[in-house]
Amino acid sequence: MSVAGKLLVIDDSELVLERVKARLQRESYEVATTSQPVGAARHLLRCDLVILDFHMPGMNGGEVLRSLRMLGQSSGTSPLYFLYTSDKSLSRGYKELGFDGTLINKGDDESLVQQVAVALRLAKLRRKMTPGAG
Amino acid sequence: MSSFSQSLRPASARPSLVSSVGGSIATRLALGIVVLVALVTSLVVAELNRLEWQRLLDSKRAAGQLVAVVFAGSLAPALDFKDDDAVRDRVEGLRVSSEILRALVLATGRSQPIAQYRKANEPECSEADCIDVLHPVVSPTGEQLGVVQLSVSLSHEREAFGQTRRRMIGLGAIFCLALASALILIARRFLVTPLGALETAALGLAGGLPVLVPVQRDDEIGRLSRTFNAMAQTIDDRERRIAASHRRLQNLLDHMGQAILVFDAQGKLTEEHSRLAERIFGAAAGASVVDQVYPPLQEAEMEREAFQAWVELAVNSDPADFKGLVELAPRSVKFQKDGSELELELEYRLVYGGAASQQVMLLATDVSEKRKLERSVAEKEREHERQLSAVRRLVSGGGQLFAGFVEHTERRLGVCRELASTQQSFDRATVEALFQQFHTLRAEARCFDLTRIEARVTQLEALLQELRTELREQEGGMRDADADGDASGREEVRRGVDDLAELLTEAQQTFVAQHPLGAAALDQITVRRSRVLGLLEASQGLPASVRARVDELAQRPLVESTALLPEAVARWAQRAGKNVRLELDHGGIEIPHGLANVLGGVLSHLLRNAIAHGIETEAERLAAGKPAAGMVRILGLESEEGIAISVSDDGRGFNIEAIRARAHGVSPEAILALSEAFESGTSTIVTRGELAGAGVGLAAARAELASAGYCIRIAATSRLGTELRLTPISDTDVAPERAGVAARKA
Repeated sequence: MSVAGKLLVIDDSELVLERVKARLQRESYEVATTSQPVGAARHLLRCDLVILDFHMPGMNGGEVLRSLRMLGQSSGTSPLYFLYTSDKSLSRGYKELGFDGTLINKGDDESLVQQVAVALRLAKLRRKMTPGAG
Repeated sequence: MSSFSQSLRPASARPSLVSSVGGSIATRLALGIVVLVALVTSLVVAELNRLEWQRLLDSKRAAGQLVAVVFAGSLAPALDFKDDDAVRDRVEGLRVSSEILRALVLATGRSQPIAQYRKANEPECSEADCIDVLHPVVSPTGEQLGVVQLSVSLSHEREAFGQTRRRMIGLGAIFCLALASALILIARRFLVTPLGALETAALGLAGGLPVLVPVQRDDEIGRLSRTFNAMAQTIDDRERRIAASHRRLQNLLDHMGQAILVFDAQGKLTEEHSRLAERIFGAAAGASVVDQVYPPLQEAEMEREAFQAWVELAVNSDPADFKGLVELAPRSVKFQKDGSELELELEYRLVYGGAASQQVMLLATDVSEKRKLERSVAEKEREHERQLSAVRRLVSGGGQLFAGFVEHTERRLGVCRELASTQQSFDRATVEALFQQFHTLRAEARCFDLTRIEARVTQLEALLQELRTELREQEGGMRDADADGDASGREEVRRGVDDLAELLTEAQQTFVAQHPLGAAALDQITVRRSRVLGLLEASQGLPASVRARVDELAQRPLVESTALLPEAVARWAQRAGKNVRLELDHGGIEIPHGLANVLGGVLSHLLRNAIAHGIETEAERLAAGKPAAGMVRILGLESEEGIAISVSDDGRGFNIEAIRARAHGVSPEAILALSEAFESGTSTIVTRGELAGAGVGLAAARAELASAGYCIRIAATSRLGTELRLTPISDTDVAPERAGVAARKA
């Protein structure tokens, strides 16, 4: 059973974005996608989860994360930021990079759906534990 | 095995309600008795001593008084006659008595004593050492003549009293000890020992042992023992009922088919659990429920974190909010146990809504077998549906396709016969042209499971591959031309074409025999197709608007070109030892007649190529973090530029380096610019596989599409997949033929 939620997916590959969006929309999630990190902050309003690619042209996911976090906090929005990668070593170091979590097995749509459900549950639970956040 | 009965704990483990004071009651009682008896005895002895001393004093006083009376009587004549000397003599006569310490005679009317004496060396005696006796001296006429005062010694009485006192103290001590011992023995027998028995019994009761205290008397202790026995019996009965109730409850839990755990406000497991929970989780009391459901060694960090957060909220939540909170709990978990994967469905119940001791029951149902069965049934249903669909399509709508296939094949065989009948030696262009025709024919034959045609074409392709190699070597000067070999090759091709024509006729007969309408079905289909084709031909000289209407009439649904692919993809994937899923989204579009004629073969080429080169093996995909099953997808698109077909896969993408290595004489720039994967003679894999690898298939696809006014381009390729787009050739496109030539020239 999925928990409804709003997601933002940032990846430089339109092919990946198209697939991820189509699959997550089938689970009734509200999904915004963009391949342009600049200006992505406009999607943060009421957003529960931000899924970020790491290797993007001109800017890596860590820089995008810091930028979005700053913009989100200034607008009172605190979604969870998850790294989306199939690189296991990168995935293991998600905390050091500043992410709240990591979605592994990039390219596996079914695995993505399951992981997103868990991430959304975590986002909602954290919001309940710290009322007033996000 | 743990059970509810283990929740009983020994009393010693609980905090005492009475603060402990050192020593036993027996010791304190004995000490009290000794002190009390000693005190009483001391008081009695002291009183007896006092009485004895008083008696001795009274006796001495009476004796002294008697002596004074006698002595006063003996002085009366001397005082009456005022004979002082006689008085002194008599006083001196008292010296013989050791008891009289001092004597004094006073005459009436005289201030000085007439006579007195004091024992030499005797100090002034105190009241404790002597007593004073006074007596008047009276004449026979009753006239008082004077006074006699005697001091009588108490030394004998004091000595006698000392002996008496020592004796009494000794006797008192003996009496005291005897009495204390007797009292202690009595207290021990009637109080301490029965209380000790009660204490032992109470400890046994606390330890869960059956106890019975002997009742020997009908006093308070006896009544207390009877009450204790009754209480112990009541407790024992209650324990038995509780244990029996717990056994029944445990039995129920164990037979519920669910792994049941209970965790407390700290997220720790309590004693209560079912046998299945013990088998699956271990379910050690005090263990963290998060560790039990998501063992730390298994890769489920996010799930662990989310579950940990949920547990913290759930055990501290208001009961009214619990139902809403359950929505955020994990509802299933995959669990590694003894090398196999268990799939558990999870449910949650609030056990107790008290603020301080809230507990949550977790019910885990093992659905592994159920899920396996469901997956197996679903797979079988899909396979069954595929088979049914294949039969249905072949019997009904598939006839159209089959008729089209026969028509295309006859045309191809005609082309091949013409190429093979030339009297000149085979050149590379002829061999490539034959390759393309045979390759497409093989792909289409596979769609209809015409295995004999497919096998014969495979033989011919192998022959052409040898010819191609020979020609390359001749062109490179590595070998001389072989006229005999060339003639035999041409002869072999001609025989192959004849064989294929016969096999095609057999296939038509088989189809006609299987169709419910018999030969009429093929006739009807052929006639209708012929009519449309005739109409198309006749419309060539007519105005554009009319030709457009006729073209529209001749359009075919895209689904017709993909109808056979589901079964074919499953077959190809199976032969390649891969797990591949086909997704079709036709978008309800119809495609031009020309494209419809070639699209089936083109799609077969592309999908076979994707399966052979793009989609990785399951092991490779899992290692790359991809799902085990690969995906190929055909999407019908309609845009301003016209109808387009997207063919994508989630495989490894094009191996540009391998393509470069195999593209002889073509610069990398030209390869990339012209999507060289579609040029004859290059392939995306290094090792030739069964399905593809000769490099001819994609070039054939490109040529087929060009004949229908379509081109193919790589829309995207990366290690996550590839998307190819089949689009109408526009004025700005480089014509495929020219591109091919340019690439070859480069």
